[in-house]
Amino acid sequence: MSVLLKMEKINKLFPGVRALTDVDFEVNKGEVHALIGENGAGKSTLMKCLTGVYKADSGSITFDGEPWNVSNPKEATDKGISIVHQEFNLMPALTVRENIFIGREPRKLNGLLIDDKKMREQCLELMERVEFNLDPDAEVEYLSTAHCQMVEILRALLTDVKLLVLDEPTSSLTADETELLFKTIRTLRDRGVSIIYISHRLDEFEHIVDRVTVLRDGHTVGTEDYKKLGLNDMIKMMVGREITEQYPERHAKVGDVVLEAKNFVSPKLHDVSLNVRAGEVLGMSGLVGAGRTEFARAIFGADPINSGELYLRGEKVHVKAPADAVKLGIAYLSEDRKRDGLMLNQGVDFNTYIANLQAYSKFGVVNDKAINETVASFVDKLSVKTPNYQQWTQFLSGGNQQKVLVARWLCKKSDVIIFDEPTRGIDVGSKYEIYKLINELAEQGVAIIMISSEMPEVLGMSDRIMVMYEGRVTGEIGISEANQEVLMHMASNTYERYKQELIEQEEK
Amino acid sequence: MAAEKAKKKKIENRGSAKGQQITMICVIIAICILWSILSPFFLTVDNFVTVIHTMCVTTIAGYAMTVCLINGGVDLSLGYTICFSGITTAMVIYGDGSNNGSVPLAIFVGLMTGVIVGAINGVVVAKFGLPPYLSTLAMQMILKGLAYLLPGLGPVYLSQKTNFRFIAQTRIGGVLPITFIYVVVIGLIMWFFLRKTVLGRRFFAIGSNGEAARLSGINLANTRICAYIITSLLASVAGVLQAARINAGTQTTGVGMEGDATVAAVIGGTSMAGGHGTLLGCVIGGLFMTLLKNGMNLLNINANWQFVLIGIFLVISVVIDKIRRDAAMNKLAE
Repeated sequence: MSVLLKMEKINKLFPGVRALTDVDFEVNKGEVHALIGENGAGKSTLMKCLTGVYKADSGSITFDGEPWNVSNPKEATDKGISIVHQEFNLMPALTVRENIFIGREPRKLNGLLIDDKKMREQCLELMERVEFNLDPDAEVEYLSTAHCQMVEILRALLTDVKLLVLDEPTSSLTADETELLFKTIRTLRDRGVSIIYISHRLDEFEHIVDRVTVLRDGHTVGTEDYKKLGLNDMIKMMVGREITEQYPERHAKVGDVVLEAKNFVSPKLHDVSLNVRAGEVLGMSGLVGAGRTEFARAIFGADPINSGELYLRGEKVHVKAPADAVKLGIAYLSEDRKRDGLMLNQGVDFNTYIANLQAYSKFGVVNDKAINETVASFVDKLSVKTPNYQQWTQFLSGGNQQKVLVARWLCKKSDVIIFDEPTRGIDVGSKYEIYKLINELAEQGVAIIMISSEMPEVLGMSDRIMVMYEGRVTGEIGISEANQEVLMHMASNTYERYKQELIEQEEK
Repeated sequence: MAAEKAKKKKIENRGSAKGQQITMICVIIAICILWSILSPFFLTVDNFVTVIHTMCVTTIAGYAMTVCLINGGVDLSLGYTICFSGITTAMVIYGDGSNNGSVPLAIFVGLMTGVIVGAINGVVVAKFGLPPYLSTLAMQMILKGLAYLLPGLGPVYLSQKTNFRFIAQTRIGGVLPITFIYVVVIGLIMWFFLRKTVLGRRFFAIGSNGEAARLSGINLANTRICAYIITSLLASVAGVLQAARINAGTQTTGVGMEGDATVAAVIGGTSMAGGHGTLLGCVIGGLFMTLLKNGMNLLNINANWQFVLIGIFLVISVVIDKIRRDAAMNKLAE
């Protein structure tokens, strides 16, 4: 089999982060090649270097025997490499064919008008090629998720595509729809189109994947034939990330259960429960989109649920809105600080006291003196770096912004604090300070839930870890028994198989 | 370090409302000088009274719009709220034509008109999630219709025998219109409310980032409804005062005032993006608008040309402000 794409010694450096280091990646003609790795292993960055979103700092790419050099995804598509993203990029009010041909409509009258007849014909031809039937005149907003994805794939195939990249294509599909997608993938492969298949669902690979490449921390761990590789080997290759960061020690006494969430059900949560004790750090692990944030937001009352009960120190409580949760002493630090955490055009002081104004007021009138003293004490205690307390938070660094958010909930004196990706996008020094802070809070008896996609962070910080997968809890484990391999199996929903295989091995 | 701090502070001020206000005061002085040269009538007591009075109504409407803008909304029904509350007030006094209605009751009805309009605006925006532009536009149309329907299609002229007109027509020391006192008192009350109370500060929070405010435990819907009620209540204060001044409730009073109010607020340094606003700026903006119009009236400039000029001026002033702010922001971010 001949090589279609060859990426050699690809390096990419972002400020402060080495995203890719000497990555080698090779795709043959007419194969389905899976690209796997943990969150942040470098899969997306590699694909962005391929499609021209980023420019690699060094390394060479050869495609179809010629050097590959593109500066944007459109150019990449024109030259034969198309990518279908996890998030669809369709215009709901337009029809299937209009979406497929957007920007490339066949023209008539010297390009003045769009040739609808020709467009429909070409559209039908295209669908025939991949053996897929859709009404070209159906409006996209009435299509199912799977059909929307087909429209995306058809759009990608409009030019003479030799290599198709599918990024997490099955993450929002049902079992039947997934089967349909696999059929399409096989048809494409049989017609000589190569496919790079990025997915976390390792258990689905047996249906379609020919070869697998594993990335870890921006390095290529290896490329193997799928048939030679077991599930366990894949996971072993993915994890084993070096733990380079240090985690401060904690001497907290774990007390009674403070918060208990029972049987939460919502469109994205399927009967999930959790409990957390005073002084305990409960780590919530899982892959992106596993439903951890949804669970946290449901507990906090930020999103509605269909059913589920919440107990605080054994007493049933009703949380219908964040205001109720805040009153009960539950705090939630959003994963997206800028979008729904901070008021960016307000000062550090404003952002610190806003959740606790009531406590600093009499008859609805704010006592600014008391507030300023409190703000000053928290800002100094957390060593927030800011020229003055009135500085707008949009001008602070990510780490300092996170500290301001922590200050807000310290100021409110919360009993349960949910940290959602507390160290995302902040520098190493600030990370360590945030860890220390979490430990201090635990030592003071606060019950802490920490959602994190960084496995070393979860392992380094938690007393107990629960793992979610597709809106379900797939495992809960004490820190002494946890390791990256076990967590990865739980996060991929392959833990049962993994245990069985272990037992079989022992029997042998 | 201290020098660095002082430098940053300076830059920050240039980008803030304060910088804009200082600029505007200079422009106002320039306009006054220009008008005094061009028109002999500008520097007369009668004209002074007219300017102060008109400015007062514009400024109170500006306060109303400022509250709305701070909380991240906009109120297009503001002008017709002024109009309609003036009409309801006048109707209570007019009664069956005997002009015997109770003045305090009339004022109360006028203000309650504002409260009800605001509550409806607030509920539609906050509970049903309609964009403020749309819901207050609908309210504008509804009030326009009601302003004609309720009194029976014509203006409500009041007899000179009622005392109602004195709440706006009294002059202190024979010169200073009493409305000026209202502007100052209402301004101080609103300043205290916005800067010192829990509710007032929550307006700034939801205007800055509604979702972040909600996740901080602020009841978004109720706070928004309060903001709209206060906006319309202030508008109805302007409506009652204007009705007292002309001693009538007419269908043309206050129409288009939402435009003047927005200009006054924005020129004074209130942000259209929400989360920031200043009442002092409103006074300056209101004074500027009034002086501009007053001079053009004295110079007999066609009223339609006045609209054209004010429209052009609004765009220019906001664009200049944006450029200035962006520059200050960039310097601050560096």
